[in-house]
Amino acid sequence: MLLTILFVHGPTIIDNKLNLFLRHLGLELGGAGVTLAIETVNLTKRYGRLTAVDKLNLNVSANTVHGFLGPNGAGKTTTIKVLVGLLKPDEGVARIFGEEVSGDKPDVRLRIGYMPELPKFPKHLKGWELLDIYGRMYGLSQQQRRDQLPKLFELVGLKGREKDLIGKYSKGMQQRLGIAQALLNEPELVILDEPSLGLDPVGMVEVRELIKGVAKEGMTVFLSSHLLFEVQQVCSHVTIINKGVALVSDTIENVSHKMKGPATLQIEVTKLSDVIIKNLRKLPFVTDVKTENNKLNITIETRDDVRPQVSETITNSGGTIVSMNLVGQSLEDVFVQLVGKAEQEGGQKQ
Amino acid sequence: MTKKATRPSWTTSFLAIVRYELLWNIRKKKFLGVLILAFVFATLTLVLPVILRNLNNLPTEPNPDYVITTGIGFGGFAFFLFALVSVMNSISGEFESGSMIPLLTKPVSRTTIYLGKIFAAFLIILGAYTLLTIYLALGGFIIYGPQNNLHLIFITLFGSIMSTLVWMSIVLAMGSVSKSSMLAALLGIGVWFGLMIAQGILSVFSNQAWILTYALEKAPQEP
Repeated sequence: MLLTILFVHGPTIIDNKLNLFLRHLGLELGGAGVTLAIETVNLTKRYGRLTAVDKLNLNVSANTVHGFLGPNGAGKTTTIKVLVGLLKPDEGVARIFGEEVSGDKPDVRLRIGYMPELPKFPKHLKGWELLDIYGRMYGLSQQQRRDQLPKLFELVGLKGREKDLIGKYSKGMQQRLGIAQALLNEPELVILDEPSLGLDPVGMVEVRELIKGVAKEGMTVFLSSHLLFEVQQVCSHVTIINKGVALVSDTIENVSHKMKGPATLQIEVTKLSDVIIKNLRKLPFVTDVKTENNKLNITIETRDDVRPQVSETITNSGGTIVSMNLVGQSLEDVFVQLVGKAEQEGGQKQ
Repeated sequence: MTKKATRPSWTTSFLAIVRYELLWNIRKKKFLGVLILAFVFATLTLVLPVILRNLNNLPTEPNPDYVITTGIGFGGFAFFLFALVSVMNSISGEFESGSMIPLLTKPVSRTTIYLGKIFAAFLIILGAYTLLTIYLALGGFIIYGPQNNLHLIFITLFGSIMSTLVWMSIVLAMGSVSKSSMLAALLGIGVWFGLMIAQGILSVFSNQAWILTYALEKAPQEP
């Protein structure tokens, strides 16, 4: 029994203790020189017969803004709840900065700022009181709290409403308070579950700017969203998840480029002629050319930037380009393609 | 830059939880309502027998044992209700409203949260019980004349608080497990009534009316 514990858990225990020790020295262990803020290995969480998260392997590098994208019911919130210690995984491991999160781990939570989806707070407390008490829980001194709280209220746009009861806050204001409490202790990792949910359009823009600002401060941001444009605008990396399975995880640029399939060049041309179409069709990467008045829709089978070659071909054929637009490589297309493919495969299996 | 995280001492975390619990409990309308209800019960305990006797043209006779026997005894029921309502949604209510989620993700252990909540409830009960006991003792003195064995009030108060703490712990634990205030309250009331019935049955078999009488009966009797 003792030998089993030593051999099976020994290396993990030593690794965790070493990480803890190095962290106290201001150092950090990480695979291949990259510090991982979040790491999950075959993470699985079931609710009865439903597998909400299925052998999820997730790596989030420190100092990045990582989007966690998926349709409703994909397993985003369940994964996040495991990461912050609210749920225990059925299988697999979840680590935050190398430390396992399963069970009651206040030391791990100390390094995380978490905003739940549509956060709720005791309505009988005032906004200031809540953050003050949370600040005490994070070990902030009275002076630190006095310095930090006004800044936070201003940052999230709640200045002037600090002394109001939370019960009088609107949904959007509670959302802002949720962001403020997640940033209270200037954590190393900020986990935001659908941060824009319930906010008006202006609020959504403000939140995006806020996240960008937070990332500049050196915090790692992990945010779940079903809003593609939000992830595209804010994040450097993305993991797309569907039915508890990670479909792809990389930088946004790489995810777009990794996807195979045609992209379309939409070009508006003056003096559109058959010669132009004929010459365009001769290009090796062009699979189809369609016309509509003065507009060309060119289907291309490459991920390389071929716009200069297309432009040159049109100009040499006597045409003048008014506008050129490359479509079909946005995150939205990738998302729809991936989720659609996964749904199709799921359907076939059944 | 991010702040180097230092975990606060256990006392700091514990006191933060107590503060959190006290601040939002004291402002709850339910809490204030129950406090008023408890005083209404206490007042009825004091005044109702006098009114009923007057209606039957019977004079109010001095009763030097009123506070120790009748007054505190009936007050105990009000105390139980008070304790039940003040803690029935302390944990489960927070789960129901969703405010427990942000709290559980703070760097405070679950045990500290539980203990902090119990301690806050204890402080609330202590304050409320003390006020109610003083109110009953003064009322008993005014209506029924000088009272005997008033020094036992402190023991009664201590006993009430301790027994209520047991109830609070049961209700809090039930609330934590079921995450439902309704279930927590129903179970608490069920067990309370169950014990009341069991106590009645036991007193029939043991020929003792209640525990204090039992203690007095067991004390050395004068010849």
